[in-house]
Amino acid sequence: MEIERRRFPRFSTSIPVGIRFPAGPHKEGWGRTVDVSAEGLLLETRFPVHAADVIYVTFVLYDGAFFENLRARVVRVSYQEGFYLAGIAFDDVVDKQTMRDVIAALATEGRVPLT
Amino acid sequence: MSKILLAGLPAKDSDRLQKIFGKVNAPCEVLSTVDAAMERIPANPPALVIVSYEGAMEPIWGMSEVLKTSAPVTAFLAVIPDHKLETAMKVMKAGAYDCVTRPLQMLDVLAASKRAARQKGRALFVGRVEPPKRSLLPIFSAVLGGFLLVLGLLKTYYGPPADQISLASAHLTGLQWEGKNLWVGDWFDSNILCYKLKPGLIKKFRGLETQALYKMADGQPMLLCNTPSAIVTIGTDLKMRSHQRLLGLPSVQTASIPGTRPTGLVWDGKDIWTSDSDGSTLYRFGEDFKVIETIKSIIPNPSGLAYEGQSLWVLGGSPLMLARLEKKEYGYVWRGPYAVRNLMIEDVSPSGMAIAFGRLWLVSGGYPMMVSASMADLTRRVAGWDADKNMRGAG
Repeated sequence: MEIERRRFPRFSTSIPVGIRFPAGPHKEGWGRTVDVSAEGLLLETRFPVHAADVIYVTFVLYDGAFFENLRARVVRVSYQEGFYLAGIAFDDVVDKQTMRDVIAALATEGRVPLT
Repeated sequence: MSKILLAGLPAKDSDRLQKIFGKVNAPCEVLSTVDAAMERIPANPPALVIVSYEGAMEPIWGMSEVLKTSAPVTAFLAVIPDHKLETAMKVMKAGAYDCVTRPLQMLDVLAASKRAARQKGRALFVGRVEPPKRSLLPIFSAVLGGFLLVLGLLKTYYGPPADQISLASAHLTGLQWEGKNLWVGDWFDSNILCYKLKPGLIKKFRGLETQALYKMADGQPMLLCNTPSAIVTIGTDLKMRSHQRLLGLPSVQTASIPGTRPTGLVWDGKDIWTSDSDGSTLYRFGEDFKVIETIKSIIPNPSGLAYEGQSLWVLGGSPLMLARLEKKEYGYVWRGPYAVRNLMIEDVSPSGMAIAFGRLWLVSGGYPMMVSASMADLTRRVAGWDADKNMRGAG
């Protein structure tokens, strides 16, 4: 029996995400989300990211729910044909309750497909 | 219609993109304006559209709208002028899947294009997108360049010479450094030799190579010094001569010198000085080789004379000591004396002295090596001697 380890459900959605890197050759980059949840997201980007990196992400969910410079840590990374697929976990200071509510509302409206 | 449509891009970008997509055999079509592209797309949608963002959002919005209504499976990329997050986010929110920045890199363009098309269920080209393999040529060139640079430095770097240098003669007499050149006399063969300091990064290997050899036709040199116009020598016949720097060293001027045992000969930039060991006296000569001044040496029996740092340096005594004579407005001031220890073999007297590169250089008639010691190390006081003794010699 497979046990779901995640506390919050994930929702597939491809939205632009801005990335700020506190260290490294690039100060700014961008990509797209693959899926989002209240605790983190999976993003695809051409800008190099490494596991355990701290990054700051900015994105807008539908209906103007704007999340700016959320502090997150890269939990896992894979590289595929010029793109880094990075799973990131939001930091504890992120308002996860708000994010959960927004995502849940969007999912209810059918704007964000549920995986 | 072609698979990839390049719409409204500057010619340079279009050429570059065509070259990139040419490498994966993906055909391109170029349209000069976005409006023209928006008119054509509904009839025959391409797999991918690339437009340029130059500050105005209207082309981006327009293209996005056309694709949404008429070509929903056509991917959309934008070329942005700078690597700014704000610009990229604005263009992506307006509908572009991704943004690539100038200068257009092949990996970025192919990766973004393939992914954008795949998102729409299209396969833009066959083949994997991989980072270019690093060429070894730049690394090899850098290594070779570095090696040649070091070789060049080895061949051209002039530093102070080695502390001891063999001059391959046991009859050395008279010594003078002139920049990178060393002048030394050989009384036995009546030669005056000019050596040049060899370049090299490692001091130990900076020896000397023979530059010129002058044979004295009319005497055996004991002492020598260089002036701008001539080589001046004192021979074993106790005569001072100035020579032209030619074969045979033809004499231009000759004069007898005072004293019975000359041990030093220097040019102070204006006048010639000699030292006499038996009389413990220094002599200053005018251009006509006539004595214009005499000064008693505080070092008994001086055995060497050098000029450096606007002072005369006198070597002599037993044990060897060094003293400095400075010219002041009111007269002369002696500094020192300083002990010169462990430089020459015991009981060997120096027969030539020079100061250069911050070191005192000595040769001896019975020793083939030229030896040296640091002037900074040497200029320590000898206990029991008066310091700063004022003296003025009697004429």
